[in-house]
Amino acid sequence: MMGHLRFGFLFVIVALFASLLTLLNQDGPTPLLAPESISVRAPDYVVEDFSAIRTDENDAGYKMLLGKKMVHYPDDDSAELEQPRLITIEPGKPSVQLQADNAKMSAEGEDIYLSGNVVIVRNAGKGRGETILTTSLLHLIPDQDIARTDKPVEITETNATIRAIGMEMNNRTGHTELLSQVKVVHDKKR
Amino acid sequence: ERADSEKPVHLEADRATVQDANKLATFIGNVVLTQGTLIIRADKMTVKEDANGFQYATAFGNLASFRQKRDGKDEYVEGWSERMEYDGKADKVQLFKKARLRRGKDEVHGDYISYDAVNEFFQVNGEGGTSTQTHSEGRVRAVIQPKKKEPKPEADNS
Repeated sequence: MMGHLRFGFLFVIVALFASLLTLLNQDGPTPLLAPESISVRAPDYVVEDFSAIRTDENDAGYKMLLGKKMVHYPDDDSAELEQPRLITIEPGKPSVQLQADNAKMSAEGEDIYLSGNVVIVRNAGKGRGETILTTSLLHLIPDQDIARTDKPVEITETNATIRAIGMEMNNRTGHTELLSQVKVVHDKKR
Repeated sequence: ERADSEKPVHLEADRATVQDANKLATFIGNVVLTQGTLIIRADKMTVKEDANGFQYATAFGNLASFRQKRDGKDEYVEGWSERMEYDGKADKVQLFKKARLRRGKDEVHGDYISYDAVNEFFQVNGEGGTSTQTHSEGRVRAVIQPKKKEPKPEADNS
């Protein structure tokens, strides 16, 4: 049922999301707006319809971050994304994708808030079916390997559907807490 | 009922924890597991799953309870204990500590009762010597109602 659910895949994608975002955030293009006209909350650069690819050393796989728009704010060094989408391709491993309507990233990527139709999919593979996690808000804390939400969350696998309100995943301890109203349906024949 | 083990398992609880390392899910607070006619209620329940998708649950409560319909009969078997182990593959329930099982009008008490739902066979053990936690001083008590003899059809003297 839930016992064989391994949430580690979520953290792979959390770390990637943070690293690619930080990458994008560091050496942003020349500001579109003249410095003098910057008001307090004005962005210093905007990137549209972008994709950032990170290949690993031996070019065996890659991670791609796509987005409709990214806006960076110099006042607090934060960034906001529209339609972020992350895809990971690694040989021998099921591909994992993450998408959301919006993402907000604090300076240095310490806190990332994914909001609106947050969907994380791990494709079938290695003897396991597809795993899909959906929620409306996911707060990622990459440095602590924690992902949490206080919203309804649903996790579906080949044989099981798990629903709860509130979840906290800690990749260091390997613990996932479902915080309230936990409902599981497990059907071997599905 | 025999068909229970093929039915979907529904499990509800106030909250749950999943441990990646040993693939163990722990459900806490108002835990209710249902599978076909089987219902287990507990304060806490740990659930593991084997490679073929069968569930193995350990329930804790004061007292944990289970209820299951007998195969082909409109009658239920009920059990209570402090700890309960359910084997989804063998369709077997083991009751530990303050164990009580009721089937129709028959009822047994003991420190350990195992109930095999497939063969509808149950076994009761008392704990030898003094036993602090059972009022039955570790002895088995059973109340088995005499089965009413079916009235023999009258001999036809005509």
